[in-house]
Amino acid sequence: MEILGDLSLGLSVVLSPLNLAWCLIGVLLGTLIGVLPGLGPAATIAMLLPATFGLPAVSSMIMLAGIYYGAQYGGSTTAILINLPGETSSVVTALDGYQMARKGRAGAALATAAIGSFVAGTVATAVVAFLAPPLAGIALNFGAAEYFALMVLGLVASVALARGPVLKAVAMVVLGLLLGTIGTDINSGEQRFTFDIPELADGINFVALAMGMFGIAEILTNLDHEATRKPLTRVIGSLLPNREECRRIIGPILRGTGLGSVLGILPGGGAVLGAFAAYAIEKKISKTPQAFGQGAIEGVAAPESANNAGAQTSFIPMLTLGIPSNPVMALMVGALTIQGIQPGPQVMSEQPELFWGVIASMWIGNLMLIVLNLPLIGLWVRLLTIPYRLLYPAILVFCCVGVLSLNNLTSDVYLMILFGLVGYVLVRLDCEPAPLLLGFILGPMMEEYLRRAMILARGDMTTFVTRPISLALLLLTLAIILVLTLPRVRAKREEAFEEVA
Amino acid sequence: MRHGLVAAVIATAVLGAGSAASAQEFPTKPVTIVVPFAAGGPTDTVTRLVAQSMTGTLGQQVIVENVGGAGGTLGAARVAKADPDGYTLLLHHIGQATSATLYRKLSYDPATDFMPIGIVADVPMTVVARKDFPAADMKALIEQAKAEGDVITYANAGIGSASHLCGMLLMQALDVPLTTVAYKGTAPAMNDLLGGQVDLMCDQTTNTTSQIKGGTIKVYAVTTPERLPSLPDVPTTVESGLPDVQVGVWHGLYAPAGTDAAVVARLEEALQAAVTDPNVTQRLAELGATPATAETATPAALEQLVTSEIARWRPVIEAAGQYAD
Amino acid sequence: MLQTGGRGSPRDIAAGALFVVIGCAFGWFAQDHELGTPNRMGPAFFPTVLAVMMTVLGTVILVQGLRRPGEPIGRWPWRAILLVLGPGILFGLTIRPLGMIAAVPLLVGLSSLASRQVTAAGLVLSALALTLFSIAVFAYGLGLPIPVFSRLLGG
Repeated sequence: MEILGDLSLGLSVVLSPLNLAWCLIGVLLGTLIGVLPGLGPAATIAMLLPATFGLPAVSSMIMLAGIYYGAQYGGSTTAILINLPGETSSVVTALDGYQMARKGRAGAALATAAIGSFVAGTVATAVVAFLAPPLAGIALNFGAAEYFALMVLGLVASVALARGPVLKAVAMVVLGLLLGTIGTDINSGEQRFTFDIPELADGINFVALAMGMFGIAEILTNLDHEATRKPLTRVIGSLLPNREECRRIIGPILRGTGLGSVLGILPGGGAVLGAFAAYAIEKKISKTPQAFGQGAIEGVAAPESANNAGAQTSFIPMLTLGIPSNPVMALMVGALTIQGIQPGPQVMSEQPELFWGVIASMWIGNLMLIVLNLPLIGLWVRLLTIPYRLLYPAILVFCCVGVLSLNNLTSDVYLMILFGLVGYVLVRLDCEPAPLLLGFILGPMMEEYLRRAMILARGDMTTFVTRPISLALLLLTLAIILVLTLPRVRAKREEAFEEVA
Repeated sequence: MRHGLVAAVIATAVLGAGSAASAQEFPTKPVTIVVPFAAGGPTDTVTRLVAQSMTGTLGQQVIVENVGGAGGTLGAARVAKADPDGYTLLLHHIGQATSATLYRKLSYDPATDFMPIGIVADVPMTVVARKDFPAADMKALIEQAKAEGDVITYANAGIGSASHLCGMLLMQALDVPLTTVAYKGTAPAMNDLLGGQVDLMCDQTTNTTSQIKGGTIKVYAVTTPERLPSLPDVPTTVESGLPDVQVGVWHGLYAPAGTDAAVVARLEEALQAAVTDPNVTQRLAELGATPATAETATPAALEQLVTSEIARWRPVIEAAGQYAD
Repeated sequence: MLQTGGRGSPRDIAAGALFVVIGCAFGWFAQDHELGTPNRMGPAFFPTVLAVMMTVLGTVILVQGLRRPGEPIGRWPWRAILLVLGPGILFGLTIRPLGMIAAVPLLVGLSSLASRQVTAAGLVLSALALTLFSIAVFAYGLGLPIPVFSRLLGG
């Protein structure tokens, strides 16, 4: 097979000592910035870009890619340990990962995240290698109508994220959608709900919102409980998942990988949906859905696998079409251009060493990550034995500096603090923040795609049902709503479901 | 003890302020160039290239700080209000001139609150279409547009973007309103163009050259007075009978108004060295940008460009009635 | 906040009321913009639809809360709220003029007081350690353009 020859060409490129070293530097740096909340791969790669000019194109791409998926690995660490998701992708991991940590299973949660990420990385590398060109075609066939249908599906599925009353979860999704409308409307250029504050013109920063609602609100909750109970467990417990847990995570990892791989290809929001969708599916098919949100190991395995798979397959549009699907990929395009390589359809045929070298490096990099990270788990878990009165000021410092580093705007610090208060009040009123965050992410995209679909269809609403992919997605949504309202399923989730009427 | 520490810091700070450096020895500490866009964009890349070279000339670190948001006006406002000591500079593109009209509630004046240092580079644009769009050349496109009007869809990367500016010019030159479809940035717009979901757009050569060469999109014209070395077969808008459709994403370096002339001269010198540094010019060329020359990387040239561009875009934007606030 | 005895669920009532207020506020301010039609939506269309949904959901939650018993909201930890959020705001105010060397110890020192188990030694040591760590890692290690020293120092 030709592809095996291509892959061995790629491996021969990566296995040179120089490229191996750059790969290692990339994943190490990626893990570090992933662990530090707020600091993301995009800013790090941008700062390092000039330093890569002197490197061969392949080496610089291998290192920059390493930073990207290394950060995905590291991002789950703070989400699990201190309920601080620094990136969109780790919000879902925080739900059950943090609950596991509270129960002394932080080690198992971190190990599950690492193993899930590795399996996902391996499978997704194969997907990129074997299926990149045909899959790229899918991304092109996704027009505004299809994206809108996908967003509707994601929102309906998101209700499954809630561990509390369903009605409040729906209200939180709507609140998230409303918060997402703050900022400049892209169609008219009008500024909505900004009250002439220029810092709000681009909307509320997601990281400020997520770190406030999760991280800061959690500090307040813990300090409130300080007097009555121990805020964080001192029991470390076993560092690795036990045999039973290992058996339980196989399915979620594989399903999460599949879902993440497919959604990761879609530019503009696909990758974000992967983790949410994977979690929702596991909760739906689980025999014990009530365990989700209380520290279910499946709830860590599935979204982490989906994240990492999506991170890997998001390279497909960039490598095959020259279209960046997220800000990090945009930087990669920049890095290639500066090297004199125009990213686009010709890269695969004109630069086979580069194309296959980067793909092979993804698997080598994932291997490095698991070898590096499994031993680190012991160290991370030990952090939890630090008394909480010393730990939370440190969390505050990292949140403040991290959120400031995003745009160098102090307004982001104030927003984070404000949402810390809002998040705490909502938690006290039994409203979970996770559905709000999903609504916030999807809201602006939903509106954008809906309005664009209507413009392109000249106001013809039937565009959503006459386009086959869109129709299929909407039918799937309808099926989920039906399943949700079937009495049998409702009986199974009785305490999670409240009567509406 | 903590209070002691704070007091000591403040005391040292006040004493330190007395020994401010004079213009002759500028710079005595790192210089910050504010890029009013997120890290990694085309403007950020141009800035980092130039900053690297200027670091060598000035003998002090030149740091790039990304202050993104509100179409570049947040970062520009930061520099407009910064101390005019030459240690906080702005590298902005054509948006510096168009923001004067696009934003009606700007907290600064792009024309008077800055001291121009020099032009940095210019990125030309191309008028492109989906690959199965019927019109074969610009002439056919003009005819089709006149016949079909708003049946044709035009993609832009958001209000105030270069593609939006180019679209306004194009529609005014054709005297036909096309259906405008707004995107967040050029990447999703290009994705829909490749997928055949929209018909037309204007984009920087940085993004279009490889797609044009790969045959995945159709090109009608470049928006420059002369043909480009990288796309020698593509006619200019002037050749195609649309001489008014001229857009380039030019970049300029600015200091806050009131900066000492000697400091500006020193910065101009470093900018001149950067735009003539073969390392920088070669990288800029690979990005599809035309570096400024010794004649254009000067305060006078940038001042004249800003003034003329503000005057040129004001009627275009006002006629379209599209504002960003 | 609402504090009702045995009847009704204070948490649901408060949450419902909050959602109604938010829904009405968004609905009100959305009317500054053009509504448009479903075929050609204006900037106000999407927010208005959402605001109506928010208000309806809030009302249902509120009414349900009045009908069924639930847990009280409980006391608010004012000390923690003030001493965690306040120093955060102060950090935003001090970081640019004073730099990390002053803003970080202020943040750590004041926020440490939010815990009832705070000790003088722990406070001073963690303020020192975190300041050094932040400067070393964020400013020098990662090269973030966050001021380290006071602007007044000329740094």
